[in-house]
Formats: sequence, structure tokens, C-alpha cells
Amino acid sequence: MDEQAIFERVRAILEERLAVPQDGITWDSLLKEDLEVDSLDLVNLSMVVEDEYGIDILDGEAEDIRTVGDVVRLIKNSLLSRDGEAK
Amino acid sequence: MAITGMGPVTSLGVGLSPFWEALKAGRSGISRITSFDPQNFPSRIAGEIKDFDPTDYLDRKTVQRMDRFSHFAVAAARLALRDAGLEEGKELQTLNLEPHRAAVVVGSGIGGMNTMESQFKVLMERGWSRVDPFTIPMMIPNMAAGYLSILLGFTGPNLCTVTACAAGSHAIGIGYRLVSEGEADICLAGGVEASITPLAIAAFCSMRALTTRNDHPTSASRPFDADRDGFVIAEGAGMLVLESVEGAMNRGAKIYAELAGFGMSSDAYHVTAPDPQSRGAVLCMGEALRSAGLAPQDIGYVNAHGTSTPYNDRCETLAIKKLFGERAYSIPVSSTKSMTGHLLGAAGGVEAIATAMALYEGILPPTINLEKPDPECDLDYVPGNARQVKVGAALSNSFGFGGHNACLAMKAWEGI
Repeated sequence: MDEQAIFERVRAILEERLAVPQDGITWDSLLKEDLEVDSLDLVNLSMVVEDEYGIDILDGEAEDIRTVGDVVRLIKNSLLSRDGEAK
Repeated sequence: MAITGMGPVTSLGVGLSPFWEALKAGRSGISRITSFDPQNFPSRIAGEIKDFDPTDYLDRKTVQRMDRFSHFAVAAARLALRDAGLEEGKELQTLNLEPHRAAVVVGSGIGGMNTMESQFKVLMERGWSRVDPFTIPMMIPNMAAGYLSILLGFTGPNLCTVTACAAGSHAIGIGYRLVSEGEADICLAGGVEASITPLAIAAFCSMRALTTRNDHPTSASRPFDADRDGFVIAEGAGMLVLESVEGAMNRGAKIYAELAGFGMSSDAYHVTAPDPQSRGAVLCMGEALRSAGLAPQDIGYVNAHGTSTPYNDRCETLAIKKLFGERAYSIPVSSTKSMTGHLLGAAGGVEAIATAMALYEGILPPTINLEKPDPECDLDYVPGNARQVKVGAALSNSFGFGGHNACLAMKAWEGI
């Protein structure tokens, strides 16, 4: 799946679930500082992403996330490793 | 202690003017429950607030992180502060106060019942990992007070009273003490509840506490009437701004009434039933008078707990007779729950507002639906229509499961 499509989806989820205005969200937006996404929001975001993409995000992985781009890369890597395991 | 701002959020109206106009007109705020399908429950009516939009008071993100009871608390607090002449975001500046001199006390009987039920369903259906991380902060009853301090920047004492249906009156009483004893210069105090949920209705029905007069919602809450058959559950909030008379006068604030005293007691009798001898209720009303420096003969109105349950109305009547003796028969006593329904932990907040308005305008709100008085309920309950009477002092009663009793004493503000 291409990163831009994941980015668009993450942006929509941030708006729908965490009430972050979409137009303020860029690839480099800092979740905490720019978008006021706190640790509990991040848990919420992880849940939605896990359900939507059928992946598992470990708590340790989520802790390293700082930007929207980090979220996108984490999803992409999880998808790749999931599909790799499936093969 | 001056009451300078009041914010009711009820099915009768949101804001002081619509609420008070409805009470004076003897209107009922009771209707069929719409937030879920109540068809299979014995009680299907409530004082449900149908047209409330929390985004009128909060941004969307904060709305999502809060249970409905906290939405009500914020709305009621904003309305009360505005009513007290305090501009939003500039409350402390206008009062010229350090943040730690401003306190918040909000009572709630249950807290975030909606959240608890919806998340328990998630747990059962999808397992622990899908339970909302905000479940605990949304659910715990103290979060209304916590959020108000965060939103307003009030860093003084911040408390939650959890004493069932007496929680609102206890909160106001504790607020009164905090300001009286110099712990704070202003206190935002009141009660809040949002428990019109399937589990709460089921549980109250199981106790046989709720009315089953579903076909006639507006006449279902009938305190002191021989045909009363239980209370009508309701939701909402009532918040008040309390400050010293001196402080209120210095800033030229309108004073609705003086909060003059507070009494507390416990029945030490039974988890839900009131003491048939009403000892706890007599004790707490007596304490309220004593702390206000009032004598029984000074009281011209009692806003009763008056739940419309067979036990409460009989026992509260007995308590008033024991305290006031023969004079009990000439004191107007009314239950505004006949119109609002029973707001549980918010009842004390909403009824303190009704009591203060009765003193301020010299108009006593009625007990509606009182058509055939119970022979054991033989006082003057202001049946049917509001009554114009200038009253010097009044009491507001609240009694909660667990035997918690609270009584607020107020005096009409006559100036200095």
C-alpha cells in the first residue's frame, strides 16, 4: 500500500476520532506539540488503526511515534511484516 | 454568603430564565425516553434533555473525551458564571483573584454511567484491548469538578461529593464552608447527573423506585399525592456562584439570595429507606437553622426533597412537623421535582436555584399534580399554581440513599 494513501487515511482518522482539523495535519506534524494528541489519544489512534488495517501495534512501537509520518511508516512496516509472515 | 450566579440545565430549560419561567408556570419537563428504546422497561419516561448540544460550550475534542454528565456540568458552570457577570475566560481577572482563591465543588450520585455501560459492552463483545482509554477519566464522578478547574484555571480546593441524591446540596454546603472559613473567595458549586441509561433504569425499576405511570408523563411525578407510585428519573445540572457578600457588593454583582447555613446528618438506619421517625431529616434541618442563626419561625418556605415516592414524602412531612410543630401547617412546602423529575445528584443544585429564585422574586414554585393528598401528607404544598409571597428565609432539603441528609438555609437579600 502506498504511503500517501495511508497518510490520507491517518489524517481522516485524526479528524474523525480525535477532532484534529485536517488542514493542519502534514507529514511532519508533531502529534503531541502540533496536534495536541496525548498518550491516551495515541492509544485510541492505535486501536482504530489496528482494526482498520488488521495489524497489531505493540505498546513499545507506539511509544516511539512522534510525527504523523511515523504513524504512516509504522502502519506500512506492520503491513509488510504481516504479509511477509503470511507468505 | 452571596449567591451571585445560577446555571440550571434541565429538561424544563437550559439557563435561568427558561427554567424559572417553567417552574412558575407549573410546567412539567417529563416525556418518553428517547436516548434508547425503553419499551421493555416498566418505567419509560424521564426528565430527559432533548435539545442539548455540548459543542455550544466546549470544543469537539473535549466533548469526545467527556461523559454526558461532565457536558452538563460545564454548561451549567458557564451559564452560572455568565449570569454572575463574569466574562468567559476572564473570570479571575474580573474578580481580581489569585487562581488558588477560586474553588470548585461538584456533586454527582453516579458519574459517567453512559460510559460505563457502553464500554462494558465493548469489553464483552471485543475484549479488553478495545476498551476506550478514556473510560476511567470519563466515568469517575469527580471528573466534572476536575474538568471545570482545568477549563477555568481555578486552582483552589477542588472536590466532588458523592452522596446519592444529596450530592448537589452537600456540594453547595461544602462550598459555603470553604468560602466562610476563608479557604477560598469564590466557589462554583452544585450537582450534576446523567443516568438515564438502560442499566440505571433497570436497577431503579428492580428496586420498584420508579413510577410506572408511562401513559401520562407530565402527571407522573406527583409528590405528596395519594396516588404517587415512585419517582421520575431526570438528568441535568445546577451550578451556583458563591462569594462573600462583601466581595459581591464590591464588584457590584447582583445578589439573588444569601446562603446562610448548612446542615448535615445521617439516618444511620437503612441503605434506601428513610427512618420512619425522620430523626435524621429533623436533625439536618435543625443544624441548617442553627448554622444560619435562624429560628424555626423565621422560615417562610421549604423546598422539599419531595421525590414522589411513598416513603420519602410521608417521612419528610413528618420531619417538617417535628421541627416546626403546629407552625408546620402554615409554612408553604413545595416539591419542584413534580415538574423537573428527580435529578438525583443534581437535584440539590437545581433546587437551590429554585429556592434562591423564590426568595429573590417572592414567588413560590408549586407542587403540580397534587390532586388527592395522601392523608399522611397534610401540609400546605402550594398545589397547582405558583404563589406570590415575600418570604424572609427558606430551606432546601436533600436526602440520599445511604441515609445522607443535607439542608441549605437561605435568606432573602435585603441589602446592607
